[in-house]
Amino acid sequence: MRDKLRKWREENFRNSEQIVDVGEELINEHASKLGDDIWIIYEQVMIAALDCSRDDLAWDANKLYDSILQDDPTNTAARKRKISILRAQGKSSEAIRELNEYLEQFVGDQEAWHELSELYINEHDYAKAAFCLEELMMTNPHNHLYCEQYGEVKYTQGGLENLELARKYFAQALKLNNRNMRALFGLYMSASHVAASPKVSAKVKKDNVKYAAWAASQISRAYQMAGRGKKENKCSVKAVEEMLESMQITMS
Amino acid sequence: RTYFFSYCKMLLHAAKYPHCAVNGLLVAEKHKKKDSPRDSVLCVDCVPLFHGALALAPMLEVALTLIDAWCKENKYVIAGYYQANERIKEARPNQVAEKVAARISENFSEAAMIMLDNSRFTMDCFVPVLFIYDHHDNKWKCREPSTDCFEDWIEAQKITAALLESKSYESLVDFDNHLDDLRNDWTNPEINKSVLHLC
Repeated sequence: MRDKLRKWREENFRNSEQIVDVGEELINEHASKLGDDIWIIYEQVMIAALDCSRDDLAWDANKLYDSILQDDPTNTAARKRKISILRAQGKSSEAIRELNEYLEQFVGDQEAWHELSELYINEHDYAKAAFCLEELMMTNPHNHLYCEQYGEVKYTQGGLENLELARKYFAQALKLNNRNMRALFGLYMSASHVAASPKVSAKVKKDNVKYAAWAASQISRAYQMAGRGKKENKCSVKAVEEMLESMQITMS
Repeated sequence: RTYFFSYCKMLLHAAKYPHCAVNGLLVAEKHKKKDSPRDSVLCVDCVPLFHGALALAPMLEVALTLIDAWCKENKYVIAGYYQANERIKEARPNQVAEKVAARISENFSEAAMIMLDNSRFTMDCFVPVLFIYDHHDNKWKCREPSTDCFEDWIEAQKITAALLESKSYESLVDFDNHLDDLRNDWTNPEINKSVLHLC
């Protein structure tokens, strides 16, 4: 049984129900024989239990992590696992609170900042999600993904200012990686919306029409290159052309 | 009503990303007979959209516009929206689901919103794992569960179980995968072929 669990761990399987079945038996009947392995097995089973919503096992795991932290309060892994348990149980506000506390101490933990931004996005608190991404962009100025995600959050917040900001960050993401399709589409969408807004000056409108047109041509090109040699993708190319055309109408 | 293409792909999408929320669109044939009863909308296909963070706007807008254009070419119409939440016990529609479904119903009054019931999701697919919601008086109301909403439930069950068993979901392409690499085809022709093969 131990070997089964190890195999699943190594291959990163998420066959949660089976893990819980095997793991529960192993822990209940044979705990004493597991030795050092016991911790990693507990963890594997706990993650699986959360997937299957076995809250009882999750509760046990929580107690274990608490005891680890009592002995060693700087054990960041245990702290983060506890937060994951909260998230998996749907206790988002608590997870958010704990994560914020954690980040006050461990301000350089990027994984944690990213997790927090995701939690905020799921709660539709875009302003706070943006703040997390700003932290990430500051410490990782060359990471095109953070720029692009920031653009998406700003775009979702909406309003002219946010759309212009979004456009700038999508452009920045493209500068860092000119093959980031999300950034390209994002640039196109945000520039189009700004150009179509009745509140902008003629110059701003003209500039954004230019940005959008540039993005559109890049998008078309990317699709042409992807579709080369594949008969089925011709459909997609045409759909893209139509989409670009339909947005042109709204801009003028 | 749901044709087995749509059902299979919805479940494959959820199976591919068991630890994430997933969502997607359902498409129906545009042409409808005049004298047909209200619920004779047949969802002939589905397009898996995203996994993970569903609450961001720009890529959703891109997807809706692009898929709409594709629909027009193929005489389809976007007829519904499906979503599987991140957590097993959570099967209620959230803000994202209601917003997207509402937008779809602006263009197609008989649009349906489908929530997958993660807790009943098994490899054998003995029961349909959907909650279907219809738009009435500005609210989404859940239909009585039954297999009537399937064109052919036995076929759907058999095919979906076979595809899950063979881990076909590993090759399922959603719009997120497409954005990662444009060569990934969100119409999933390979899966469609497998489904036809199993019929």
